[in-house]
Amino acid sequence: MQKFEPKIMAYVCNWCTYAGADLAGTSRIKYPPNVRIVRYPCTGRIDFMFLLKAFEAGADGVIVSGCHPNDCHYTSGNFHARRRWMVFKELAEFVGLDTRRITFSWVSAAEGAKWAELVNTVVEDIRELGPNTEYQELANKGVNMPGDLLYV
Amino acid sequence: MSRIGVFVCHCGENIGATVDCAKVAETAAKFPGVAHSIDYKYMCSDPGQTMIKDAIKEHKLDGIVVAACSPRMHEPTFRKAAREAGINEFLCEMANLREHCSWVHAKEESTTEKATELVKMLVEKVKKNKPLTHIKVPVTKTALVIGGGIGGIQAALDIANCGHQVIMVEKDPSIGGHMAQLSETFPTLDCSQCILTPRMVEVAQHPNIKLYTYAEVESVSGFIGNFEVKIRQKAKSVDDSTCTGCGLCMQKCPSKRIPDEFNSGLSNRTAIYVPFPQAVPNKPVIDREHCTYFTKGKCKLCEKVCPANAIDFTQEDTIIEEKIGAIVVATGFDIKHTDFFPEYGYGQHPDIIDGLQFERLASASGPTLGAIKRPSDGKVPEKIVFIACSGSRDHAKGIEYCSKICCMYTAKHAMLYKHKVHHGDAYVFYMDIRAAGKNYDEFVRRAIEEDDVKYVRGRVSKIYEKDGKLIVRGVDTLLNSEPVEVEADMVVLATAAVAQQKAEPLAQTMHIGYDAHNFYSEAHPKLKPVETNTAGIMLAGACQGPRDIPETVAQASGAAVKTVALFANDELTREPLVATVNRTAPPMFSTCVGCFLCESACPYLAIGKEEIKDRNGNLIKTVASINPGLCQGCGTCVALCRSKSIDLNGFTHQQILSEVMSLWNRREDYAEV
Amino acid sequence: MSNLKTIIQDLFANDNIEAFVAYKNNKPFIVRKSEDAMQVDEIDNQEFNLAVYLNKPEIKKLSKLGILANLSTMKALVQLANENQITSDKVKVISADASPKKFERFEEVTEYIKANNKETNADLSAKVAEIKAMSREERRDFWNKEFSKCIKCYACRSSCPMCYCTKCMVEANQPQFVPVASHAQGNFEWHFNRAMHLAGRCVGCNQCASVCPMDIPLNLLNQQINETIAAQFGETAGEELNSNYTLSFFKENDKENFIR
Repeated sequence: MQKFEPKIMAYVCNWCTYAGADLAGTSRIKYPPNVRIVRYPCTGRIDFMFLLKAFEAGADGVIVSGCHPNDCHYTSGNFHARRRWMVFKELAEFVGLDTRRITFSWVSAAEGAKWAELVNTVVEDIRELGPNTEYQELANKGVNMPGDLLYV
Repeated sequence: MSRIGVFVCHCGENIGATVDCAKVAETAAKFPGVAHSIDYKYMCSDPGQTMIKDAIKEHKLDGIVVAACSPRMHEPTFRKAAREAGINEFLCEMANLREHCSWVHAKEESTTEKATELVKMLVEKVKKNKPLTHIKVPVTKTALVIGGGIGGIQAALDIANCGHQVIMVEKDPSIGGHMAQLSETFPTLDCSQCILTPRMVEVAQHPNIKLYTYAEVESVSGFIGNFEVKIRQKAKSVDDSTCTGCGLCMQKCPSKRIPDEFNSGLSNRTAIYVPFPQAVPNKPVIDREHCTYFTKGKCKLCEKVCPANAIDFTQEDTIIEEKIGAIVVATGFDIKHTDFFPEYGYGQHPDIIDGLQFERLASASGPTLGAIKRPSDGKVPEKIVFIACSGSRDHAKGIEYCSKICCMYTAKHAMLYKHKVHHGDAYVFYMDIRAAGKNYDEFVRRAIEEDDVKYVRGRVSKIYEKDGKLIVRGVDTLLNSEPVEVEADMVVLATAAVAQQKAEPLAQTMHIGYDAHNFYSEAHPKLKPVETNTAGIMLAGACQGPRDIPETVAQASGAAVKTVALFANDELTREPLVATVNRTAPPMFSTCVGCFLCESACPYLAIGKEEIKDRNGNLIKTVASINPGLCQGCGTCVALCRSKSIDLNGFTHQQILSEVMSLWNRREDYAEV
Repeated sequence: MSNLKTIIQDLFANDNIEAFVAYKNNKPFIVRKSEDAMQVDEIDNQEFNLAVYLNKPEIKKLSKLGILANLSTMKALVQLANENQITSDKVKVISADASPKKFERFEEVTEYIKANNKETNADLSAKVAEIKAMSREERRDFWNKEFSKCIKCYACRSSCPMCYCTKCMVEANQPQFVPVASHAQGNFEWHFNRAMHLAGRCVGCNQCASVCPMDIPLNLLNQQINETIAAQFGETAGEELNSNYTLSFFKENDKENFIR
């Protein structure tokens, strides 16, 4: 059997974490190639639906990362994002999503090493958790007719 | 069907050594919508760019993905190439194969696989890109300078001398600021007023500068190039146009016991007053809080004696509206006063004074005409103690920062004292001597070596009075922390420089950032030290943090250049990556329901209300509208909008979702529209 | 006997209202003419949140109207005012209690809310706590089972006074975020969205759950979010005028212990 390679989606802001990941590159810090970075202008732009959509796309884990508090290029986007994530995370936990698969982080443009470390940790954590089949199952269940209830 | 071009760069060995670029290009060629895919050694080189331009024309491409380095590096290069090839530059995206792939991964199949997927994501994104045009905003070529200290004066003169209109607003009755209060200046010991007052006069006489003194900025609206400012002209009670500045009124005014702000409370002034003899404008105002007529309803002596009939008790505050293109904020600083220090007697002892008070004592135009005399009894102090870092660098006092100017002015004070009281003893208690600057350390050495000022490294824990002397107790940390006691006649505290009292409300009026100490925040601590995060608003001087005169002047000139650069063009060109509220067919007009919950999320106050009306002018609905001149494109409002009525150019829902859904479990219903 | 009928007639006569939202035979009823006021139920025992009718296009377009409001309706009205949907000038509020009283301004409504506010959702809270105590897998199965019943009739949306978008995001198709069909993922994402979009706005009237034909306990989702917001940010929707919307507001010291 092939070894399980976690698929990690990373949503990062342009000004801090994207630049931090660039710095990891220029510093030649090695980390596993499991991560796909989607560039947003700011963490404030990250609609919570994109987090669910990452799972739909087949991600086993998601990283959401932006500027540290008070570092936001737009002064407050990350503060708004932080509130949104708090509400999102609590609701996700409540409805039984596996929130261990979502990692929120602050990585600044100077923290290339932190970025590499973050990817390392997340890849290892998700490797432990195994493939994220739950959301796929949701997607694959198909249409239910009323009365034809899945669990009844 | 889209016609996308994919250009995979080897970046020499940088990408090519780890990623199989040819294979990436080959695989990408098979992606739906890709019309052309090729790899090349150096895409950013001239031949590389020509290759892209030729391919755009030859294959009629309507979007390109350059898979190379970070877009933070070369996006402008390839956007320019796209533009030159005749397609909209915003139809170009970059996949980051170098910083995010080849440089951080080993040479393995999975690395090439990742590179391919990164290309795929951007191919799907670029398919949803729309041509965008740069936003053009007209510019009003008038600058507002807030604050008439040396920073404001310098900025105003520089801008005005470049031929642009300047409006200067000063809260006090005269311009000049703290610099006008100073006796001599370090490190040259030249007279402060001698170098400042000519500049003040120049401001008053400059044909391009309109000066409002005794005035404050009431509100600021609009955006870069197009601010609308309301200025509150406080009632001076004196008609500027008829007053000749003869000064008779001040001689006759019966309220003579008002602490003089200019002399830091060391002398008194009248209720109708000019702050200092060289004031600009040199015309008095009535301080209504202390005026006998305004407090008791009787007097009007000044009105009787005024030969020009200039006194007008009925004057009211007026609001002046001005259209402005840029703002230079030069509101300066304040200092902590002696009452801030319980260990030094809460400011109760008249002979414990602050640095600004000492400046007035040493100044030839001051209350003692430049003689160093103690405030309590007018005696010349034989022994004087200066305490540097009073409050500064003190976590317990909540002021962690270095006030920067105190080391230098304390050395200056000690020297001035020694020059005037030759036989006197001057002690300086200090933590460190920070004298970095041209001729600064030499200046301090001169104080120690030539003028015999006694520097004691250590803090003063207590000052108390005993037999008419001030006992200063401290330690000398260079002598094994031995206790030191000095019986002084006078103590001068180099108190911490702090933000102006009204700094916070003013920042909120202008919507600029400020730190925990209410000093204004620059847009970038290194690369944008004079700009604020609000486009079109610049900073000069100590409103941003403690600094000395040369630094303030340099920064003011920097702010002036930024302003003049802005005024160099009739229109501003801005990146069109801004948020927009959608428009739909009637009867909906927009899916926006006008809840305006997005309004408070915008850090730039770019979201306003727009009324959609029918042809008879009847209101159909009110929706949000985003001012493209103010919007910086963070997208916080976009993520908040429940009905998805707001979208962000360059990072639309469609673009991002396509990018995300292109990965792994690609579902065809997201693929092509 | 209360004076509700006379108050309504007075509103028609003196305040020039064009409609009044009340009950007739225990069902919501829109009074269009002064004389119809005689038909309304005198005392309101209904738990229904009548504020939802203010969002219906035919009512929304009227320039002035009145509404009978119990506590949750009042909260919804205050929240709608905060969201720029209604104003004191347009909507006259009559309290639905033993002695109906007319409120001229929403400020008076908030005072009434403050005076009469009571913890009504204790049972719901207990249920939320019960679910939180489950293992994650149990929670997942619980909700999957509940959501699988959903027939996407959107009654929850239509009955919610805070769901007034003219075009709901599930009907947007450029892009289509939420799959349209009522399959497991579509249902999950719809209910997740509905709850998130009500975060910081839900006034806890529980109407979504009571109208659900499939008896999905949707109010648990809202209750959970309301509790989170109250605990984390100390905010409640619909109690104060001009209050901040939780998600477009922040404090520098908001909690971030979940962020690495």
